[in-house]
Amino acid sequence: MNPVRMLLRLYPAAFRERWGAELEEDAKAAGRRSWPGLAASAAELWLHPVIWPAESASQRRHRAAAAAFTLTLATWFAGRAGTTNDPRLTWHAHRILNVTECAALMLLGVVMIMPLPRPTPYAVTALLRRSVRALAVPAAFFAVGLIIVHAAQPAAHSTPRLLITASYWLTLALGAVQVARVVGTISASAVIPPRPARLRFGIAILAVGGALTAWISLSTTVAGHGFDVVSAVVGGCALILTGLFLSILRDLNDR
Amino acid sequence: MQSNDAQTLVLCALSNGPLHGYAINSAIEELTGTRLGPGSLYGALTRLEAKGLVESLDEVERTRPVRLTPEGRRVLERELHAMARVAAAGLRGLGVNPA
Repeated sequence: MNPVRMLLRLYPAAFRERWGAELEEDAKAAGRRSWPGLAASAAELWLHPVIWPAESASQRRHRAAAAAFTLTLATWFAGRAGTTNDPRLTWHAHRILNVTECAALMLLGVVMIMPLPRPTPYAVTALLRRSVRALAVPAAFFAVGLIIVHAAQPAAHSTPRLLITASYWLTLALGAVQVARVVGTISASAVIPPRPARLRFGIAILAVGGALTAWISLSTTVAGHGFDVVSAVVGGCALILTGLFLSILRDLNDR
Repeated sequence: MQSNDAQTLVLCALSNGPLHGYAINSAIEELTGTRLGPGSLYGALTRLEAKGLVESLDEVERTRPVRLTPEGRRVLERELHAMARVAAAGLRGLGVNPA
């Protein structure tokens, strides 16, 4: 496969279908110097799913909802990792507002943006079938891990314990990826995307949740004695994810 | 938008009528002396289509020409007027006659 074809494969499928043939011709004519620009443009497009070629406005809204949901899962994952590894991010340290309460706020945002199943037996069955198929493997991993922990009860800091902990986080990440894939790829005949105002409001709530998570984490970084690495990483991730929420919101408003 | 902004350049190139991607880039080269990178060109076209400022026509030999929509024409005209005002003011300030 030639390098231009490989770079084209980095682009979203909707973009390739619309512009792929022409882009390939132009990139071949432009030669090697166009390759960095092609890679940068592909990366940029992945951050702006709302602008990908679409057949309808509702398809764009579905993409925005799926992207915001994926970012929410990433924020939740960062927050979960942070609160598990750093007691200073939990409610013990932040009694007024903590990362867990930010997650609750973001749950409200998710309820606002989620595409709803169409009220037909076909749609509900299709959604359930997709969800079960996607989540079967992570659920099986989780169950096996749970059984091993309860049956063997490995000692803290032992190799088996570390392996189980690593597989727990991998299972969580796999589950999050699979849920995001179901939401992003479920057929338009099975779900109804949120209405524009509701979608914008939901994403705004998610951005506020992400910003509060970043603020709590970054204030924790410098509040105690010395620099706290875990809260700095969580805060940095939450800040980047908040920027991405705002970017989706701006793309929706630009239209 | 700015005069060297990829989206403005694409809109300018389309002001004479529908063109496909390669021809748009040739028109931009004629206008500015340099071609846009393919990533920038098709990225700009995607954004402009999403904003409803350009629209695709039927496919001709594996390429689909695009043209300005009425809204695209209005936006381009407004941008060019704004740029012309800024350019005229700048040239006046420099004591150069805006020919």
